Amino acid sequence: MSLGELSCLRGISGQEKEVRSYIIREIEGHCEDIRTDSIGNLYAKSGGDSKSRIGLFAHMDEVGMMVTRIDGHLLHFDPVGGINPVLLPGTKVRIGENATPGVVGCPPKHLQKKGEGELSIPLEDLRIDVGDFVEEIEIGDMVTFDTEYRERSGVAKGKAFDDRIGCQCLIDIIKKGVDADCTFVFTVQEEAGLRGAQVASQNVDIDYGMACEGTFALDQPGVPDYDKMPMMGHGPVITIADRSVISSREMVDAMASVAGTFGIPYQFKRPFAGGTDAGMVHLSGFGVPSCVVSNPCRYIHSPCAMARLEDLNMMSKLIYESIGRISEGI
Amino acid sequence: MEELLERLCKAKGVSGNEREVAKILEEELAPFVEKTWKDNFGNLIFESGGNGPAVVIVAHMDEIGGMVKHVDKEGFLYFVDIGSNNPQQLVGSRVLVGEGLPGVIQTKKKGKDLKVEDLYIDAGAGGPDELKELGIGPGTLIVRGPSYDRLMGQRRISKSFDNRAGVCVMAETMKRAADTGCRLIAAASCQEEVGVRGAKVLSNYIEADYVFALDVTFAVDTPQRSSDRDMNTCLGKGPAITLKDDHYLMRPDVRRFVEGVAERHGIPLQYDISTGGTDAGPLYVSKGVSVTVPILIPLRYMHTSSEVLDLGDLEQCVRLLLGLIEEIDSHAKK
Repeated sequence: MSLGELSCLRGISGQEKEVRSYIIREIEGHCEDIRTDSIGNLYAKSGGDSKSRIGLFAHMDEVGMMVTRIDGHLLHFDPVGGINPVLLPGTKVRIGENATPGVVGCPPKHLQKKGEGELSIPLEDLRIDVGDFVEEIEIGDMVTFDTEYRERSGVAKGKAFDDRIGCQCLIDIIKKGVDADCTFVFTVQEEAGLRGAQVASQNVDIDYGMACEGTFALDQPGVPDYDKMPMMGHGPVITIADRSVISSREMVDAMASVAGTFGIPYQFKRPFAGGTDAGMVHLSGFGVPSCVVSNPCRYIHSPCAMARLEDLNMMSKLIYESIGRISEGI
Repeated sequence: MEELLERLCKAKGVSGNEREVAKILEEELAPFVEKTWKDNFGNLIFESGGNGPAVVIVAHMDEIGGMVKHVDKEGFLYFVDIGSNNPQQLVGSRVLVGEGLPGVIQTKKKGKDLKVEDLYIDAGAGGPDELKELGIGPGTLIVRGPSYDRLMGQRRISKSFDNRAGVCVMAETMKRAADTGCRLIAAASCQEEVGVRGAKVLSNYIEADYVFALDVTFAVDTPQRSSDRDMNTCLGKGPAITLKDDHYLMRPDVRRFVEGVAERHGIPLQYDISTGGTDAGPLYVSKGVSVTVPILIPLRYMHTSSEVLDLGDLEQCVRLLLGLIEEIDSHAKK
């Protein structure tokens, strides 16, 4: 399992090259007809004939920032994708092609006025400090979180689990080999508004779509018990509906039944939160029944997320077995 | 027409599960058309008429509703909304949970600024296990309780006139225009209330010279208006055509065409300038469509359990569509 390697690669929306090259290297020899399109999506075919054709989608991009202005050793930036600005002050980042180190600056406690916490700094006033490295920086450079990947007792922590964990899951399935007619699609610019999927869904001929995601887990402080849905360690997460798609009920039922047959734990996602590539896929052509399966990760869209590797194993297994069921017609 | 309207309104059809409405419509309309089929999204398509200009009438089958988020230890259900609900209006209204378990929406918070999170459904359950036995839990759909009553004159009250009124007008028009030379296509769409999604799918493949998108619009000809400017439309004064909403702008030549037809056929016409959007939005920017006209039925108290309309507007709406189809047909034959 190389979630570590994959999640440490750097690729905000629109700059997914590193991730794409890595995935190509990983899946070469395990599938046919690897191709890319002009926006950067990566496609791979696998498996043989089946009654229904399935498209599996995972996005390569991660949330981050982009340098918008260089002001001495301080960089102005805009977020790319949804980032909560309160997470940023004091965060270590890497900038541009050279992965130049920097830090999101934050006034020291000494200078804070009484009653004014660091949380009160508005996003537009935050700067990235690159010290003497400013020569290496250009406007438009991507900024990613500088987070080490660690694994211990089956728990992983790192950046970009949304959605490298989905990419890893699809790579695992490709390597395992599927019997059904599957198109694996690694998309770009999901965090910027499902843009890669909008293009990709026009380029594939499929009967069912499945987005494979890293989603939030809510078993964390500040969330009331009844809202802790989904939770880490409770198995893959099936989406009934989110802001972008109402999942195909037939697919959801088929997956629940597969989970029952194989003794795979699963949970439902909190309805109508978030959106995924399935939002574009299901609206393509004459309509493509779609659903979303995710790995529950705490603290996604932040410098450091957590996930349980057993959830990822279970997710791979659920998707793998569901491909078998769904491709036979539901 | 009213018998069909009542049946359609009483059916459950929350966005994403329009099957019950589709079934009624298919049974009603299939005998009158040449071809009936469904796309993979669930949009239901009827085709009839000649080989003249392609005229598509679209109306969405879905309605707003909710989805169970969690059930507490005492068996009360909490939910999220599907489409836009007004929490204030929901308090005290009856709903059906899942296949048909009745319940009432109540609030745990007093005061005005209610949010959907503050509301719960009491379905009489003693605990979550009883509900689980009925298959009710997170993900179960919630729909406004069926009710249909005759008010004074032509006025009627029901849930989901938005947009079963449009669906009904579409069906009636298809029946009466069966012998037109136009290629007549009716598309009953899905998931309009969650972001005109069915219409987006239609816009991938529909090729049409004219699209008439049927929906409802706000009539604030009631004490709720603070001035006459708020009225938008009135009940009983005929269908309204949209000049502008958030996703559509009417071309002047299209407006003149519709106004001309209405005038020649003696049909009163109103104008809708509002926010939001209808199925017309994605269709009028699609590659295969030439002219798109949103035609709306005035409706009071939209998105509540007690929406009010005037049957006369439905009849005038059918007449306007028949007039439009007739003139498109005769113009093509010249």
